[in-house]
Amino acid sequence: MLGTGAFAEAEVVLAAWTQERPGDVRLRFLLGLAVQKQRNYHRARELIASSLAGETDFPERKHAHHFLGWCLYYLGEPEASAESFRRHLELVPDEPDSTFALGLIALDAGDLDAAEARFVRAIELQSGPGANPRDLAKALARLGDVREQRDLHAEAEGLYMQSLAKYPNSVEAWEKLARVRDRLGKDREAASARNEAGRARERIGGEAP
Amino acid sequence: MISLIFPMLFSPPPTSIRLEDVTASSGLEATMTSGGTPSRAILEVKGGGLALVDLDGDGDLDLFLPNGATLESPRKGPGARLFRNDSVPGSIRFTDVTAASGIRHAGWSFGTAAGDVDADGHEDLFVSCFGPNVLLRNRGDGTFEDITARAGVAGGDDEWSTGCALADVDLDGDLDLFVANYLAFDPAALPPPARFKGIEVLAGPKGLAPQRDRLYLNDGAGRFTDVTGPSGIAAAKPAYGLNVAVLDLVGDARPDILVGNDSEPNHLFRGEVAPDGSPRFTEIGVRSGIATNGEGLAQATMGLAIGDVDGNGRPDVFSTNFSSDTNTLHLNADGAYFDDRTARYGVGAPSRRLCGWAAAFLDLDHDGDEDLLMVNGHVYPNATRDSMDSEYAQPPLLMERTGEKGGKFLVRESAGPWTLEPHRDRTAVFADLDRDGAVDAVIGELNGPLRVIRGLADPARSLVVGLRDGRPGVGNARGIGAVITARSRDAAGVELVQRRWLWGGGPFQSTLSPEAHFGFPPGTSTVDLEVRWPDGTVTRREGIAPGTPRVVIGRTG
Repeated sequence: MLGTGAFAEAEVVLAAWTQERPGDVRLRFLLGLAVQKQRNYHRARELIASSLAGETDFPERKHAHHFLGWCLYYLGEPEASAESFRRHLELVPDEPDSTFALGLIALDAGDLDAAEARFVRAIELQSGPGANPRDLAKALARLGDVREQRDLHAEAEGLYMQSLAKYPNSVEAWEKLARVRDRLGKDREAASARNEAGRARERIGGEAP
Repeated sequence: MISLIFPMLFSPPPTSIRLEDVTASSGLEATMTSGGTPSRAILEVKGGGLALVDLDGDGDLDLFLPNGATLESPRKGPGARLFRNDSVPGSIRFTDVTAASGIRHAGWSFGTAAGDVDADGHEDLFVSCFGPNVLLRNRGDGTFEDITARAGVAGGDDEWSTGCALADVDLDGDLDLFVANYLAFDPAALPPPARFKGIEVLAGPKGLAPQRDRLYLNDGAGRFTDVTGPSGIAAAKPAYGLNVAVLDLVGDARPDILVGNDSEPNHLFRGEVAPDGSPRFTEIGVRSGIATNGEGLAQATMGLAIGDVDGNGRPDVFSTNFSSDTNTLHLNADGAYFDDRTARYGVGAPSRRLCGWAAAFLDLDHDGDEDLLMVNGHVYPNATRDSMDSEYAQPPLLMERTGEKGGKFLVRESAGPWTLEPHRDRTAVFADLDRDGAVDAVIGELNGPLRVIRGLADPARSLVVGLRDGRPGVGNARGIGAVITARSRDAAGVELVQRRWLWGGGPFQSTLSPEAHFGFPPGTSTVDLEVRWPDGTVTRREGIAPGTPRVVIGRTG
C-alpha cells in the first residue's frame, strides 16, 4: 500500500499491527512514513524519531533520517532538519533528495553559494539512468531560484524551461517562469506561461503542487 | 508543556525587548465576542477589529471595540464598546464610556476604520459587519450618531464585510472608503464540514461564494458614492477579501489598494487617473508578484504589516498566513515588482506551526530597526499537534531584527511571560498609549478578554510623531497615506534613515494607529523629520532630540 500511494489505508493497517507489536521499530517507522506522506508531520516525526531511538536495525533504517528531515523541515525547524539530511548522507552518500533538501535549506537561509552547489550536485545525481524526472525538475527549478535571487533572470528563465521540459505539470515552475519573464519584459511569453500554469493546475487536479 | 508545543520558540538568545501584560491594572474589561465556543462555522472564527484613535480630542488614543455576535443572534450581539484613555506616563488606564457615548451598534462587526469623514475636526468610526455596515459620526461632545443611511455606506444586506480602510484615494483631501468583502453565508444553514489534513473541520472559504469589495468616494461632507464599478475595482474577480492596505506601493505618488484575499490571489489595485479626472484602478497583483508567495501559491493573508525591511525606501509587505504554510515577506523591488524574500529574512520557518493574524513592524527595543510582533491562534477548535501540526491556542510570535539592513528577524521568547501564553488571538493595535515614548498594544482574542501590553523600552531613545493637516475642509487631517522619514546619526556618525507609512487599513480588521513610532540607537543626539503628505508636498522639522514628547507636524492653509 505504501508503494502504491495508498497512505491512509496503509496507516490503518500499520497502526493495527503496531498496536499488536509495540516493540517492532520497523513497523513504527513504516507507520511514521505513512503518516508523513499524508503531511501530518508532527506525528510522523515522533514515530520516525522513536524508531531511530534504539539500536535495533531494520532494512529502511538508513533512510529514516531522510524522512525525519522532511518532517522537521515542514515543522519549521531548518537546523534540525539539515542535521537529519546530513546524517542521511553520511549513511547514503550522494542520495539525491537529501542533497536537494540541503540545497533548499541553504536557499532558505540565504546562502546562495551553498544552495547552488547542492542543487548542481542534485541535478548531476538525478540525471543518470532511472532517475525520476519530477525530482530532476525540482532541482532545476530551485537552481533557477538561485539565479533569480542573483538577478540573473535570463539564466533563471532557461532553468525553469529545462525544469518544465522534464515535468510540465509543475504549477510552481510555470508561475516562476511567468514572473521571470515579466522581469525580462517578455509580456506575451509571461502570459503564455501563466496560461500553462492554469492548464497544469487543471491537469493535476487535487494532486499536490 | 509549552516547550513541547513550540520548541523553536525556546532557547533563543536573550533580548533587550521588554513588554508586560498590564491588563489587570488598566481598567479594560471587555470580551471580543465572535460566535460561540467552540466555533462551529467560519462566520465565528475571524474575530473583530479594534481602533485606537483620539475620539475626544484630548491628545491621547481612545479604544473602540466594534464587537461581534453569535450564530443564534447574528444581527444583535452584546454591542460595541468605547473606552476613554485616562493613562499617565507609565500607567495605562481605560474608562468605559460606552453608555455616555450613545453608541448602540450591536450588529456582528468585523472591521473598523477611523477618520474624520465630514471634515468637522472629529474622528468618526466606520464598522464593517455581517450585514449592513455602519458609520458613526462623532458629534465632538463625546457622543456619536449613526449616519449610515445618509452617508450611503451600508453596502448590501447580504454582504459580509471584513477589513476596511478610510483613505484619500482620489487625493482631494477627504477620506474615501474601501471595504473588503468576504463571502456569502447563511447562519441558519451551515455548510457541510470540510476536511483538513484528513480531519473533519468547519467549512470555508473554499466552496462558498466570494463577494466583491466596494469602493466609495467621499464628497467631503461625509456623503459617499459607490464607485466600485466605474473605478475599475469591479473588474477584478471577486475573492475572499480579508484585509486591506491603502498606500502608494507602486511609487507613482498615487494611493494603491492592496487587498489580502483568503486562499485566493491577493489584489493590488494600482491607482490611476481617468481622462475625466476621476480615480481609476487597475488590478496588477499577479503581474507585480504580490498576489501569491514565491511558489505561485495563494495564501490566507490575514494580517498585513508595512515596513522598509531592506532599506531601499519603498514599502515592503509582510502577511500572516495559515498553519502548515509560512508567513510571507514581499520586498518591494522597484514599485513594479515584489519579491518573496520570506526565507532570506528568517520569517518563514518559525510560522509554520502557527496560524497568524494581526502583525506589525515595531521598534520594540529602540535600537533603530523594526522588529515583528504577530498574534496567533488556529481557526479549528479541534486543531492539535497530532492532528494538524498546530495547536488551537497559540502564543504570539516576537521576532527581533538583528540590526543591519540585511539582518534576519530572530525568534525571541523572553520579552515577558505573556509572550509564552497561548491564546486564540485575532487582532491587535499598537501605539504609545501612556505617552511614555514606548509602543504598547491592545490584543483581541476570539471570545476572550482584551489584553493590554505595555512596552518598556527606553523613552529617551524614541520619537512618536503625529500629523495634523490644518487646512480648512481637509478631512484627512491625520495624513493617512503620508510617509514620515527620520534621519539621524549614531555616536559613530553613521547615518540612519527610517521610514514609516501611515497607511489606510490596519493590522487585521483594525485601524492603523495615527502615529509613527521611531527608535534610535544610543548616542543619537538629534533627528531630522520629513513628512511627505499624500498629495506629495513635503514638510520638514529638524534637530529634534530623541525623547521629546509626542511631536506633531502640521501644515496650514
